[in-house]
Amino acid sequence: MSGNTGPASTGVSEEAISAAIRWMVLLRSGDATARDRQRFEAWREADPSHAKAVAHLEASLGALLPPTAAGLPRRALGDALLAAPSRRKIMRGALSFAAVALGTGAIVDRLSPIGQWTADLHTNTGERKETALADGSTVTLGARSAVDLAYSNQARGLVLRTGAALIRATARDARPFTVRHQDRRVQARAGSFSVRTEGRWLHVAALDAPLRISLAHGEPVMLAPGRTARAGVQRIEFTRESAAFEASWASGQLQIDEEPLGSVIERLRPYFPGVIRVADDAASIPVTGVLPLDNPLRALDALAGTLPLEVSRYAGYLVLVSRA
Amino acid sequence: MSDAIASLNLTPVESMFRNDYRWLLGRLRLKLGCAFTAEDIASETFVQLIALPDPAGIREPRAMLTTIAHRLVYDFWRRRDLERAYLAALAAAPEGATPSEEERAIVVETLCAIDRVLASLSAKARNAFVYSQFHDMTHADIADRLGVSKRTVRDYLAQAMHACYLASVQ
Repeated sequence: MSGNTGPASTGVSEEAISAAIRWMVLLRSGDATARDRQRFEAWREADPSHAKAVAHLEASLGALLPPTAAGLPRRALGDALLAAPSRRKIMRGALSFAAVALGTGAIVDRLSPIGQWTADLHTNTGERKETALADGSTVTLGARSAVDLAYSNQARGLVLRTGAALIRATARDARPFTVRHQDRRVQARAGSFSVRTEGRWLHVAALDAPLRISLAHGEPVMLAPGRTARAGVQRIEFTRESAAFEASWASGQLQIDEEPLGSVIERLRPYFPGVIRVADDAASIPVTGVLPLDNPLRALDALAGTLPLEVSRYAGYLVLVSRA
Repeated sequence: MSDAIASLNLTPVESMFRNDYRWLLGRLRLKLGCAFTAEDIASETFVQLIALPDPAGIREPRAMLTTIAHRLVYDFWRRRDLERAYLAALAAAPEGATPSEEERAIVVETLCAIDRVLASLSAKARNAFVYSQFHDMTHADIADRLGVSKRTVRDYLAQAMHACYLASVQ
């Protein structure tokens, strides 16, 4: 702690602070007499700097109590401070250079390819790709996406490993088109629909044909054209976005209607070869607009133009978004 | 994509990021076992590195990154320990208060601040301050508990208060 204490910073001399500390220690000791209190009052009034020193000390001790502590037991704070184990010994050498060398396979981040080499089709950071399938259908993959083809005599379809896919299933083929992701299935007779993984959810948009969504257990859900839903591990929920907005990534222009900034940035991330960090207080700001996916930095600048946001960039690879 | 980036003329800080970010992230991920925390700490490390007066002049970037990351990881674990200890203390309290998510975040923030302020003190001085400030114990009781004289308790508390004062003027 390299404090520049003294008159320059507080207007109170180091001597006054030391004297005030001695007084305050005495007054809180449990041994202070009425006479001690009188002498303290006399000392405090003897010089304005004495009163200032006491006020400053009381404020710096007060700063050590949380503003909301009124309803919470103060004792628990003390118990926590006494009980938390010392980390110093554990930490020694934790990240030292003697630490184990790292195999490159352990690293998956946004600067590198997505590590889905074995997938039938995949895209890397910032890439979108349309592919024609054997039956004349097409699939467009969003950035950092991977799918496997699942064609057989009876079935046509894809397995979505990760990312986003827009399918245009041709009506010339009578087999239903099925997209699987883990235990979730999305099925169409023909027509266009999109699927996208986000955390534990699979987002689904029915563009111009009804879809049948099902989980490992439970009744399947029918999704009408124009509507969206998300399928989790346990349940399927209808969502409020229009199908056109949910699938807008495929055109390179992300259309957003009142979505929290945090999840919007989650959708920009696969298009940015670096790290975008969002402060907690900014993540909940609702966003509406059209964002260019192929230029995430410009998209963020556009957001900062209309929202109370501060966007700081470091070396082009690290972007911090916080509330201005 | 990566070829396109590699062929650009990079500034020293940019090439540091290119060369060392993954190295640091991988190391943190091994250490912390959580990708999100590792990415958070790795990016915070770079933010702090770039905030240094002459980041481009750093001759051993990985040593500097390790130093910064080491402190951030310590803070991260310390915060987790304090939060756990606080929740355990609340659960054991007879009042049985349950803080809201927001109150809890503020309290943990405050605990970390107190912990930092008291970090320069000896274990006994630190405990003496906690007994006095949060448990409202008298000097006589604290002296008993710590096995020292009342005079020593007074010195401990004066040291602790001085540390609080120093922290408040920084």
